[in-house]
Amino acid sequence: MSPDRPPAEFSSEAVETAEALGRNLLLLEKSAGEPDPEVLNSVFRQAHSLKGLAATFGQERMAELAHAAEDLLDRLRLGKARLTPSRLDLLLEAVELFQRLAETPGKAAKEAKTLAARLSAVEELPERLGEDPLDRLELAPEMRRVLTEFEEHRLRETLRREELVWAARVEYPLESFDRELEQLKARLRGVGELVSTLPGPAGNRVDALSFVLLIGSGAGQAELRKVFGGVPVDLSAVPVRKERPAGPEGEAGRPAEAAEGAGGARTLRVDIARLDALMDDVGELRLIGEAIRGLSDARELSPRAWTVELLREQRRLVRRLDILQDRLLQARMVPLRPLFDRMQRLVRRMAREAGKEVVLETAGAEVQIDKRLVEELSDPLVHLVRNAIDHGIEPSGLREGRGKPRAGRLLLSAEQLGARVVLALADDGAGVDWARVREVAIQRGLLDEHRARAAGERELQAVLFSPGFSTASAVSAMSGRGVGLDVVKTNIAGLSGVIDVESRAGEGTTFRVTLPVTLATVRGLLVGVSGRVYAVPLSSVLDVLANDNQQIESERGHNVVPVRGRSIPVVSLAETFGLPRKADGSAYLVVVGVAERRLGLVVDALHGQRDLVTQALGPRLGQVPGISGAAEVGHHHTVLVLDVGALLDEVLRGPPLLVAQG
Amino acid sequence: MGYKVLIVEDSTASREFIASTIQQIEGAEVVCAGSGFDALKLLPRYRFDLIITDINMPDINGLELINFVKMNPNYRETPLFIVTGEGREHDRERGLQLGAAEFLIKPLQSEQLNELVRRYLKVA
Repeated sequence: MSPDRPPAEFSSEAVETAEALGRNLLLLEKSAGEPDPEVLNSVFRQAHSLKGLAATFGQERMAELAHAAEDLLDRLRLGKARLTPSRLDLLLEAVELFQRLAETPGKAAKEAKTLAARLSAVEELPERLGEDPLDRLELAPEMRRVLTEFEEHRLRETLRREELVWAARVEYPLESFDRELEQLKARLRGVGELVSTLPGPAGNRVDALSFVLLIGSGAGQAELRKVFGGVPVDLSAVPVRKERPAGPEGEAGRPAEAAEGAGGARTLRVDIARLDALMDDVGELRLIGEAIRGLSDARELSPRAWTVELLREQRRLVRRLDILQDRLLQARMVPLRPLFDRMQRLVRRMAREAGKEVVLETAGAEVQIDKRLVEELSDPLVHLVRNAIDHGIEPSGLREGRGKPRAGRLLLSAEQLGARVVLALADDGAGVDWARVREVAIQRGLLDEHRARAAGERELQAVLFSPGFSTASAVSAMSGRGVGLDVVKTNIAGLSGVIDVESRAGEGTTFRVTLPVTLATVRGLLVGVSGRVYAVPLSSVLDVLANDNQQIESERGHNVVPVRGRSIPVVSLAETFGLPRKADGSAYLVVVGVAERRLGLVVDALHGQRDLVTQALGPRLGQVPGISGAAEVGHHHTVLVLDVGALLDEVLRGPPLLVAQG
Repeated sequence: MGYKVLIVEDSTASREFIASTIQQIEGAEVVCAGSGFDALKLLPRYRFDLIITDINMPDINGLELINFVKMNPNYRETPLFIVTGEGREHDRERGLQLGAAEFLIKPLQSEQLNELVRRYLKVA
């Protein structure tokens, strides 16, 4: 037994602090993605207190170990090193040693030394070079000078996440400001991060204090204001100076950045190199304009040679316009990462609210889509995430009983497939009870009993998204998967996208949203049907084949045709839209697909590809089944654009629509 | 006549060490705050002759507390020490700029602290 047994007041505080530190480390382990900065900072503070405590009482071994732990934690909280499971293990080992050292300092001395060395050996991330984003934040000097290094780091992180720093001025009574601020902090969870709290006098009042709070948040002003719960607050975003223009070399490939957070300002920051390239295109177009003007004077040319020249310039013009359009589309593209990051924070908050353990993993955050799509996607995605947490993922106890890991897993992924992006949200929760869906569908008259009994999963899926189903209050019995899904579906359809769901009882549910990469223009295949022209969005066209009516067979109520070894359902557009059939029609089969689903469209003729600017049908026409909008195709001709997702739904769930005949 | 010293520090052991050191000085009385918020509540209640504060605390940081003290005409003249375990250049610079009189790094030596406190309290 060591002769210099530490005094009791040291041991008890050391053990207490070490225990608290250990609890916080476990909190960090549970949180998915980026560790909660507040928890990380309090772990750091606890290690720091331990060090001070040990040093004060002459406990060198513990002071040394605590110093090494504090040092590592300092780097972690300042973003200079990343928290990995193995580093977390090292820190947890230290907690154990702290407790032993507090009781019997002599015993674990050697282990403490080795562990301290291992803690110190952790590699740092390379330092970030370039300008300090904080220098662009127009913070009043009296606010900046009271920030600690950690607070400055948190503000930098806020700016890097493309979120805003808000300054909120509030007054609270002297006797209750601490409780008020604690409550405010709690309400801020998931909305933003309280980075700094600067107290000041409240005018001449002695019974109150004023505070300037710096809050990092991606939320809008209205949402933040709500957090203050009616207390008068002077809330404004701290302005951020424009980024210095980047040099043109090597920067051209960098994506444009969303200027504001999820608040959704109608502005976009575009790399200057991209604008330069656009200017070049305009320069080219001017040259072509000059060349065409030159032709008007070229009297020496024969009419034939003149036509050849004119056509050549026209081709140059079209080529350059194509390039210009491409570049403009590119400029609208932003990565999904900020949206994914926001979901990460949301999941943490929602899981906490629901009292469940949920880990969100993401994949494909670098995939880029149209800025407007990112904004419009937020609401439906939040809805799906909430559904998954509230109703999909089971409470931990129940999960264990079912032999699943305690923490539920959500996987949010994005993948670009040609001109489409597929976003998927998968949970490993209870899944949809299809038998129950069938029953509810019958009860609510959405399917007649006979149809319902025969309905496959595809047909029942469509039921899940129908308004009659989702307003049902009884749906909690089937994991609540129907709640509000019709709204989600409508939102997604508004973005020319489709949503589908796949679910196995007991295993989980996956929602898949397929969207065009951009909303600006859609390239379409023009097809002729009974003398009329329709456009099929090219992004969903998979194949165009010569139609052979002999091959069409009837299978389980659908007309199907074998295509590349797979049997796919076919419909005649003429019948779908109630048009007279042409005797010599039905020459082509256009195979369309969304996600895993396929459908063959029988058409009479093909009229080539065109860029389409789609517009919704006017209020007089309203919604026409199978049509997503109209597009002008030159010379004031308008064509209707097919809603492939809706056609797929209709055909795959409805009664046999038609029989294609020769 | 007596002196009042405010100690703002979230670690109990550290707080008690500083308190016991200062209590050895004749006529010195110690008031302890476990957090910056507590300090904000204590400041208007007493007239302090010296304030000793930590930097890294859970509610407001020591720099914010110093700023608060230095902005208020009632407390502005009160000398202020920073006591911290981190010898951070960043904090040291800002603390002294804000008007802290001394920047002390833990572990503290009892005699050294005793001497400094005496000097600022102008105890013989």
